[in-house]
Amino acid sequence: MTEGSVYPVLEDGSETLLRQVHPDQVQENGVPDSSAFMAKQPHNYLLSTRREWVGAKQAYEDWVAEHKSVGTYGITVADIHDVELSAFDDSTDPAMPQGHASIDFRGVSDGAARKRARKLRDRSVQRERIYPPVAEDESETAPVET
Amino acid sequence: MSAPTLVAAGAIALSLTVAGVPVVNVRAEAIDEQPRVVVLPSTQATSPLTVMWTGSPTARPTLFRLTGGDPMMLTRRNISTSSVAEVNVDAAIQGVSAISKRIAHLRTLGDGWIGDHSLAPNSGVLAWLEQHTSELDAVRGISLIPMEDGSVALRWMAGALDITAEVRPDWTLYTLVDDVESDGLEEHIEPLTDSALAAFLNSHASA
Repeated sequence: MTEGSVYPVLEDGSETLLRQVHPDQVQENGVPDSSAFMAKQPHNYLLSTRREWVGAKQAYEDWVAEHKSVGTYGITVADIHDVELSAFDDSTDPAMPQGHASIDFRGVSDGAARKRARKLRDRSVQRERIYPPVAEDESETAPVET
Repeated sequence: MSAPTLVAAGAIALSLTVAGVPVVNVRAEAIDEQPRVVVLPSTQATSPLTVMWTGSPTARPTLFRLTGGDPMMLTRRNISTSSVAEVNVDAAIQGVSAISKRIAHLRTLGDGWIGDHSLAPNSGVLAWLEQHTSELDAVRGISLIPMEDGSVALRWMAGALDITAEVRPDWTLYTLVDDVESDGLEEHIEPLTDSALAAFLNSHASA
């Protein structure tokens, strides 16, 4: 099955797509904001992710070579389907890195897109950040001995 | 106040942000090769001392608070003294609200802050928000989140309601109330005015 006969649509619900979260997209309570899981017009309503085979660590390292990130979060294809969205592999686009996939928000109204993004965020946060692993990072911000 | 320097080289910086504390003594020492920074706020301090630990690029700065004259020691596990750079005490931030500090930070973001096609938070939007810091500081758990189009979203939870008030560069206010339990959704867009913001904040204050 293809998206507009161009890119293959992802069907395996067990696959986890990898998403980076910018430090300024993290709320005061430490939780990523849902805006990090939503695509808007500047990106043609396509949310950029990497395929699971790329690896959370590699996806993170590729991104922070030029940008900032608090880490890699996961969104399963099943999660995407549950909120009535779809994803496709557009890594053959010369502008995209290897293993790139887009979650398609096209045709979804603003409010509905925000709600779906919030649900994707909730699922992703429930599983915790994949890389760096939460335990490792917690040791860096360990408080305080008095 | 001069900043004590622990060692010359290293990649870790401790930024001690003074908020309402008139005098802070900072002592750096190494015990068993573990760097420790001892912060001794003035015993006359009536406001909490906020210490921002910026240990690494991947870690969100963590805020620790202490009151009164109790000393606080900050440690970083498994790091030798040679990797601690310096301790800075920024007395200039004394008395600045959390919202103002956040706005000041958002002003540092430029075009491309989150990749191609992303715009810096609109300066006019930030200036407008700066005029409403006291109202925003009163909303429990509020966050200011920059959007790729230059808007700034005010985000908070009120019970089961996930709330957004987005201030846009076209001088509109977009609001969204997403009911997590009932799955309901209310969204609205109107001209950006002081009264529009006040009305929305008042009707959707944190539970």
